[in-house]
Amino acid sequence: MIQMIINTLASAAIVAPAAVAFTLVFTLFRYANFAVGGFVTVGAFAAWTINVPLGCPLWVAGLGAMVVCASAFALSDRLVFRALRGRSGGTLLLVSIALSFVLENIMRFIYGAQMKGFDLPLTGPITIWDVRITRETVAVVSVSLLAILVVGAILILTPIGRALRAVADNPSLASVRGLPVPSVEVFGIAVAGAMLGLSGTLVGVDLSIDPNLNWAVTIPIIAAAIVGGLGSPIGAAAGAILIGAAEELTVAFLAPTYKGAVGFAVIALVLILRPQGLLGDKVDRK
Amino acid sequence: MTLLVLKDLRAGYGASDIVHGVNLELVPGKMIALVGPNGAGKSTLLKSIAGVANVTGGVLELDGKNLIPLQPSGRAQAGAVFMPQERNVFRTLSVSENLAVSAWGCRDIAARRDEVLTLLPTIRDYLRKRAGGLSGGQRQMVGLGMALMSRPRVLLVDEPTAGLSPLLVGEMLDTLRQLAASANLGILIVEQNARAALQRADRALVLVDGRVVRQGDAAALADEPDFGALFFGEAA
Repeated sequence: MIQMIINTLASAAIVAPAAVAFTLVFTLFRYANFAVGGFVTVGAFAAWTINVPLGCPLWVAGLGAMVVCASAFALSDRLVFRALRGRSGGTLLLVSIALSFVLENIMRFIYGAQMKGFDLPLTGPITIWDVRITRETVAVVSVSLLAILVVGAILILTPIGRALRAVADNPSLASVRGLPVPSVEVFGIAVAGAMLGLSGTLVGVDLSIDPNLNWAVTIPIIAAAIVGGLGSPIGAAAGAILIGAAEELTVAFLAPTYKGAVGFAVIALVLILRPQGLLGDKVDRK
Repeated sequence: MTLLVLKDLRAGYGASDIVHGVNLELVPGKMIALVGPNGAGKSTLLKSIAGVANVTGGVLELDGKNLIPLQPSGRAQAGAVFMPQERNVFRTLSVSENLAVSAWGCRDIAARRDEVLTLLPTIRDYLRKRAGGLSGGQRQMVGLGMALMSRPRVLLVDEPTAGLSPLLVGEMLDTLRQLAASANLGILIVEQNARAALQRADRALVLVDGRVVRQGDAAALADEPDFGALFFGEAA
């Protein structure tokens, strides 16, 4: 049981930062960006490049991946999504799916299809009361939790965080109140991109890195954000834990082949029982 | 000293003008009411000053500074602050956060908040509440407080009493009247409760089809025998 909780937390820790990014973009622009998995893949390859060919420690690689993803995510908004502001959420969703394929294939073109892994020192697991925890799992969970707390603190306690929430709530009012809406939006996009880069690094610690990561992580990320309640970063983290738990239970009691479908099942259940998600607000459709 | 100057101002949405050549001068401490029938262009005039609607011609200056090239945020920072009729608070933020975020870029947020709470003391009762959960009257008061946080020179108020009970209508208009004097603000107000607004305003402009058809002392205008016809646009 405790082992299952640890496994749940490990898998939630990978998904949670990206789910927070997904919900941030949704609250700011009211569309579902399905390219999140593509950016997580970009983050994973960026971290691998800094860690293995360049020989830097993993924490430097993680920070580098966050910077790369923040820049790439901001660039994608500038080149792709900004021109489409005001279009329906469905149009933007389709464009984001196309972007996801583009990102995946750019990674395939640059790095090939071979699986890659970080250069990590070999360490044995820590065993406490017959429960085995790897040092990597401890690191992944701690870093993910810290990142979510930092983003939560930025949103609640800082002027730029308040401005971000105000712009997400009502951009035209924010504009007439003197807030620099475009700059605040760019800040939100950069924070979301950095979280996607972090998820990419964490996923590379747990799994091997290859371009197919894209769709393997996209569904759990979006499921976590929807289950947690779109618009709520804390809800996204809670949703990630719920999706992680559902996946672990599936592996334990059904078969690992059903793991991919569990995200869809949980989304369907939540949408029937609590359409706004665990901690979300009802949102206006655009 | 004139604060806000409009000369032959034309404005609208897209290619078509809704406001056709309005002239107006607003001085500190005074309140001007814009009255007229629905669709006369009153709100469009306010929005064009705030940068929400397009100015297509004429002069628009605040303290001698041309506002036309500025975005809405730039006009707010210059001192022309707009209070929309609806959705004038950030629903998901607390009242306190709504006030703080409205003083973007200012270092003395606490001092400004104290000033606003002195001018509008009722806000103290619900400072920690989420703005989305407030009543209509409380929301309008918070919207007004938010507008004051940036220490505006000119307040552009669009139907502040919409949806309020008759008792609150008078209270809100009295508050605005007092604010104009105590904060030395110029206030330009669009109000459907025309008689109530004219009782409090210093001057008034009657707009019909985007043109000023009558202007003058607010109280005198309200006493004119054809005021009702003017208000409903029959004397254009």
